[in-house]
Amino acid sequence: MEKRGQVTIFIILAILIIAIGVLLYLFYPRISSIFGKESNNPSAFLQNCLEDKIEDTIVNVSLSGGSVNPEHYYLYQDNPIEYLCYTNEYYRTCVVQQPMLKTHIESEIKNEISETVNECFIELRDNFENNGYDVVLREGNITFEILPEFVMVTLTHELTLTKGDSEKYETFRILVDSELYELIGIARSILDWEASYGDVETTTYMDYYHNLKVEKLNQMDGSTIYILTNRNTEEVFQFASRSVAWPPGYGIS
Amino acid sequence: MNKKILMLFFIVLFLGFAINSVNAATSFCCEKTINGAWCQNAPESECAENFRKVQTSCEATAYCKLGTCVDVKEGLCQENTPQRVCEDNGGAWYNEDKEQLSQCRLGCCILGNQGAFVTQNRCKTLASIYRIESIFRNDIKNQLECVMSVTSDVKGACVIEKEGLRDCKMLTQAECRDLQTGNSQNSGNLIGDLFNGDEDELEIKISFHEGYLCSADNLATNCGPRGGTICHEEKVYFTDTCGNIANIYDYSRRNNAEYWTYIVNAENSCGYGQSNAESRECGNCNYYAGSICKAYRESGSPAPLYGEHICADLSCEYKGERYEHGEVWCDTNTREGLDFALPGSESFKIICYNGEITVEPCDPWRATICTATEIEGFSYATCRANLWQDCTSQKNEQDCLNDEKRDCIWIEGYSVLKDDEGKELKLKNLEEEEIRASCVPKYSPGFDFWNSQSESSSICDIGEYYCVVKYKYNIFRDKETIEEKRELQRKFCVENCKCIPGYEVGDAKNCEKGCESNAKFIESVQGICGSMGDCGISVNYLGNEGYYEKYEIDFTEIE
Repeated sequence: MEKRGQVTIFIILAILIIAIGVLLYLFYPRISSIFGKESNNPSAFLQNCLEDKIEDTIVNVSLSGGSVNPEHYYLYQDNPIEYLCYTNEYYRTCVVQQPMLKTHIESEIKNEISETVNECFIELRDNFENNGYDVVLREGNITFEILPEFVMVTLTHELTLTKGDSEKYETFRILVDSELYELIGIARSILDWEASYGDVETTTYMDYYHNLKVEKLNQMDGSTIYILTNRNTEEVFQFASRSVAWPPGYGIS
Repeated sequence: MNKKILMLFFIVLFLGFAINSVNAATSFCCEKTINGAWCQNAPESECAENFRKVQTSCEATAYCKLGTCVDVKEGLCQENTPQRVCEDNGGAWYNEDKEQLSQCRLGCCILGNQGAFVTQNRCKTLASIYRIESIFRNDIKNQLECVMSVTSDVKGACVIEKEGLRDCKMLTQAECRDLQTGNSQNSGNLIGDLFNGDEDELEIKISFHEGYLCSADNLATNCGPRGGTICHEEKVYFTDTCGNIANIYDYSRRNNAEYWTYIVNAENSCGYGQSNAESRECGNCNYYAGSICKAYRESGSPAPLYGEHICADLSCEYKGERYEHGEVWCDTNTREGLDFALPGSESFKIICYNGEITVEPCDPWRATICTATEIEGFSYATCRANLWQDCTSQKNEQDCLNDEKRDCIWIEGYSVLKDDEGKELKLKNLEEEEIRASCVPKYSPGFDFWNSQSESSSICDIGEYYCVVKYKYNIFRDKETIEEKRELQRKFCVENCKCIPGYEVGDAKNCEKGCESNAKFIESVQGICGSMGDCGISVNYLGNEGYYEKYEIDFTEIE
């Protein structure tokens, strides 16, 4: 009798576990996509495939002043940080090196993710073909836009899936939460001050933007590292500037 | 026959490097340097290949002339930009300041109930990003006026009724009107959320009640009082049982029917104008006074008497002292502070914001120094220029101590100013007496003395002190005997015995002048020499001693 009771309990537990599993699969999109439901939804597949790469690229670009491989940089704690405004002279205001910061960053990120985009489309095609679809994929353009509170990748690849019925997709949009737009806006404003006066009062920004932390770190050679942090999301954008640098002594040697 | 021997002790505090005559390399305007910087004046060897270079200043060239770069798409203007850098990046370059360009003229961009002081193009860009209509007003001339000109729409309870069931949302009048007319992008969603998506089949009545809360009894909605608390616009608010924002959390009014009926603004709520940090009873937080709404469990604050949120304290603790949110003060990396600026010492701005401390170093070489002011116990500090450069050329105490023009101090003892023949010049003190004194930097500047091209030796040399020590010798103690033994030097000197290392008062019986102890003398000389910069006998900011000899001693016989 005891054994029969135990078996019943095990059966009930097993049914419960299966039921929970089915419910999670049906109603929780992220979990369902992990188990392959995205194979029926190309947009979700691409979102899954690209999201991490986009996030990582944003972090890398943000930590190095807006460029994937900075050309002219200050080495701060072993990380190269791009000079966005620079003069090699003492006492003079800097020359702007990157006047179209947002456009430049968009282009850098787009170039960095484009290979992954292609890989994702190949993976997508293979995935659908393995599921018995006829897949026609025509390559399109990639655009990357930094917008308030998120970034958006638009892919104009044309995808036709046929399995009995035919489905055609012409545009895919991948959205990733990011405060980069806001941080770039602050960086631009700081650059304005650096180029005009050679300095900036960081507390003004923190008074106005309550979730913003601005760190200004003067270096021995006259460079300044700015680190902008969103206190809520902990996203960081940092860049270097050298403007109105002070020399040791009179600066005439 | 007694002969007088004059032996010269050249005491040079801190042997610096010989002044290197540096032939400044002829400067070119490099369109791009080999390290990737655009438009820099640099030696030809630093100019990158395949880019333009001319032996002149960049200001005189066409290719590196600075102007305004206009980002037409974003509607942004950036000054101090070279033409090529701008155009290569897709911008439009103008040889004018941005104030002179119509594309860069600022005005008030009104977007819904928000105002931004931006260019007209930027206003259009923002409108397209946020997908709302914009109004651009160029008659408004500053940011403050712009923000003030935007009047926010009145708020109230938007009651949505279907078949006797009255749901409610706290909205602005315009938002509620949009629900009525179905104009809002979200109106369908909102009504769908309220009535489980079956709004199409229902007859829905929507009414707006200005100044009322959804929990008002007379509105007879299904939303009641005391649904909890929430963070909204940095303050703690009550919510009703439908999750709508009600009034600011005030424990004493939690059961007050009127407080759950009408909207009460922050000015008429508890503790207005105060921070109310860590208050368990009042949620009228004030960011500028040092508090912000947070979940009490996350902020480590005490639990409020009701709900989950509290005005978290944004103050900071630094070296055992409490500082308010927004306070900025000074500190240095040496215990002695900047009045005894040691090599490597710097001053810092310490900033307390949002309960977090950030350290902002002033410029290196003590080129700028941190100075703080305090108003009613609230400290504010800035890094300002250290005006040390013309101290040593001041000829009287009054000019020396003019703190509007320079940061200098007056030290009596000897003068660093010399005439054409190298003889010490006396300076006038406040009593107009000519005395041996020096005007030297109050916060001595730092030098890169380890660098062969450094100016440190030329500046430190101004503080050199030459001391002539006189001895009497006879047949029993000739020049050679005295030169060999330091104790004999101390015993038989007659003038400036203070300059002999280790000399103590009374060592020489016949001392006539300059008879104080060597230690005291060194201290006074070091005061002047050390004030010139990173000069003289010193330890660095970490307390480590330098490598070089402190003195240079030379014996010369003078007939």
